[in-house]
Amino acid sequence: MRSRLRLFLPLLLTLGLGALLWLGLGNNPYSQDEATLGRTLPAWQSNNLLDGSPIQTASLKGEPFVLNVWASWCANCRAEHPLLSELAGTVPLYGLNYRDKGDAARAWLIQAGNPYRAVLADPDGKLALELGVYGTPETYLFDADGALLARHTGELTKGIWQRQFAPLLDKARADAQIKAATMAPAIAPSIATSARETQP
Amino acid sequence: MLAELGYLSLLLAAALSLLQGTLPWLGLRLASPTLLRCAKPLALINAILLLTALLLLASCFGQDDFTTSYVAQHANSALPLGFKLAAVWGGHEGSMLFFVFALGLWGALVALCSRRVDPLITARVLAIMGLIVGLFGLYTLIFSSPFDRQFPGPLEGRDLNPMLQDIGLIIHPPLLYLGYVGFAVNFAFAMAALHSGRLDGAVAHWSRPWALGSWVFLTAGIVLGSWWAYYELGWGGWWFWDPVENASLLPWLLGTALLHALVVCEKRGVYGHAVLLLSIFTFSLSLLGTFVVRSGVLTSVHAFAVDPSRGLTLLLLLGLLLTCALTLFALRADIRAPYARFGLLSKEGQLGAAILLLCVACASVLLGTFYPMVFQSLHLGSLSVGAPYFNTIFVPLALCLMALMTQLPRLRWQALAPHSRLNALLPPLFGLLGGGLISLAYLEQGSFVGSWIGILANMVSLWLIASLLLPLLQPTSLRELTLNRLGSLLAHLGVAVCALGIAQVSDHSQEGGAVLAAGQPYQLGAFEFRYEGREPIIGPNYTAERITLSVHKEDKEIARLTPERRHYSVRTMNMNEPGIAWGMLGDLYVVLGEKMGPDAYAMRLHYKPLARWIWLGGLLMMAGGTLRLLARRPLLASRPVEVGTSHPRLEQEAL
Repeated sequence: MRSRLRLFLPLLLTLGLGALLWLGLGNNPYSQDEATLGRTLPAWQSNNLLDGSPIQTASLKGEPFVLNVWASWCANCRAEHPLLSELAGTVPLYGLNYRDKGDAARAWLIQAGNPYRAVLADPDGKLALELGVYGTPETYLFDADGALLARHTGELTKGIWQRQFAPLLDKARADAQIKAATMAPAIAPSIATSARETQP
Repeated sequence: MLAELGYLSLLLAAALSLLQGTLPWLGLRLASPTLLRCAKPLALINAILLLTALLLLASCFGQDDFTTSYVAQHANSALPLGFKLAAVWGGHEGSMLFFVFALGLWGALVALCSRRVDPLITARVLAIMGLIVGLFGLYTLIFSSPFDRQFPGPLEGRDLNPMLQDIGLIIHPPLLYLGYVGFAVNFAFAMAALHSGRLDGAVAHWSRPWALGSWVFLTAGIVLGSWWAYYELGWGGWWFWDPVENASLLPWLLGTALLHALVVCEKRGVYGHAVLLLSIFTFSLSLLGTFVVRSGVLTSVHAFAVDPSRGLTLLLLLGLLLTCALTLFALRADIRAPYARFGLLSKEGQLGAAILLLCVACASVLLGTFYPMVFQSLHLGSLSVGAPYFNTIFVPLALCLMALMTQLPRLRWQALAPHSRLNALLPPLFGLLGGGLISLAYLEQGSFVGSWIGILANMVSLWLIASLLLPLLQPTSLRELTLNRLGSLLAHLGVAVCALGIAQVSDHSQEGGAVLAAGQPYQLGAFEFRYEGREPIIGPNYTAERITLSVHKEDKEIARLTPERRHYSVRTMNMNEPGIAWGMLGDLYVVLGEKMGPDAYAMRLHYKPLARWIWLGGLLMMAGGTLRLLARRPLLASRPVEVGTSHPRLEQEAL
């Protein structure tokens, strides 16, 4: 009987290994990105895709904001578009148009509606490289000082937004308010208006 | 229209396969020879249906039918016809279809070549093959059908990934898949043996050629894959211990172990458990290989099609097969101890040691491949396991294995053949001297950077070559050299040749980076690289810049290199085609870098001694395996077993 039991050994070992594999499948392969959290938005000058005016990454700061990396050639970006339009009302949403042709990108925004306050054009992917973009779509949450709070690679869903982004956004907003209250009141509104001016 | 027909024939094949997977069991239960016999024609029909599906998909590619979304994603009307055909298996959906087709093909071959196999075993084997084909057919239909339509269809396709646009990639995946899938036959034989309770030499005898055939295909697939990585990726390496490469190495290692275990089991009736377990695990690792490539569980340069939900289903399928198989093993495997007795110094003992070493090697590669993932899933953080781990573990194991192989000419059942002191000493001496001399040769050039393990590898390789070839010098030996022996001699020689190549490339490659321009040559070791000019090239679906370099040694031109930088307009991807001048003694290898001026380019220049020997060794292994397969022709000869004799047994088993 003992030797019969021993024959079950391969089965048990394999089941154990299978369970580990199963656990591994649930992992987000990009979770090593946690290392990049806390980094600040690199300073960068680009053109606003919408009207061609120059825009600097520094001008996005001032309140917590979301940066969404997208391109007109990216099917998943289209899939998350309705959600972005919904979010646009609740949080300052900026776009980073990644390795795209300007005309194609503008045509797509006209067709589907523009949720972005401003879109930084990044035709050769240089800013994306500095940000450490894996591919489109990617969504970043920055606080008022431009420090990275959260990032998500792949299509953004409502669930991911609620779980990973919304709590951090609320906290960042609270922090920003405390800070704004202690800062000279003249500066904060001016940044806010300059950010809003870039909207078409 | 064609795509719908393809879908239909795949659907029909899956349904008939499930029928093929159930009827024989019913036949066994009801003792009905008619039901048992229907497995064979079903297997043949399935193979034809699956071939039809594959051909229909190919003709969709031929017609540039971009309403089929798979075609639109992987082809373009400017793509040359050969690559269009390669695109059939260039993505996930198509490669799954090919996988199922390969399963069906092996099933049909089993049905065709089973005249001398016990019909009761054949029926079970075909039934299990039918179940596997049916399961994977359903998977392909539901989760990854390549025949899905999209309306309106785009005017132009997205083109095949430029990395895959290469002759090596036309044949690499089919060979690899044929190898992976062939082990399904061994799996089926193991299951049939367990189910029937017949765990004897005869079953091993019938199972052996299939293991050999799949092993040859798998070897060919790996060799081609590594060759492709060498000359297409342009990283100057031939093996990267990348998860996907490991995924193909794992079944190869276990398959090699299985081959040797089958020999012992057939001739001596021992290692029965090893044969069963190795059959099960080799096929499982083949499936794991497919799963790894397709699931994105392990991020890799090769993971062209990544989709977790598909991976999950594949994992479930794999888990189902493995659990069933191992449960059957636990319940039905023979627990009586084998009666054959032997010591370690016998063919049984030595092969046993080799099998053990191969299993350890396989386990350590498996560990290295999956450890990062397991580590992460236990929330211990992230880490990556790289080449240093694999090299430290794998190289000593491989050297031990090669040392074992040196005993090949002496292997006899129960005890090793006696040999004179001279014969015992000559090969190691040759290895020692030869290995030393090779290392000295590098010292002379003033560039000795080799490691002790490299010198050791040289010595062991030469020792192996000598001990395989020296016995041939005896006059009687040539007469004894059957096709079979020649086969195993070549295969093991291949290992030595391959190891010699690996040792030189790893230890004595020279590499340099420089900006080359007209009148600005670069010296690498004994070679001088000169920039000769550049020309624009217009290919069928790309444009390219081709640089011409001439290589001089002692002021004599010995080679011309033409590296290219290609731009594929549809995917807007740039590809570097390295310029390679190959030679038996070493390859010159140049990869283009950034353009530094109107006529100046940054480049990486390599000299890789004996690089070709790596693949030459692979070719020898394949040739050896093929020879052994051909030597077994009697198995395929048409002398059917008396059908009458099996009927009483059938009735007996039905009870």
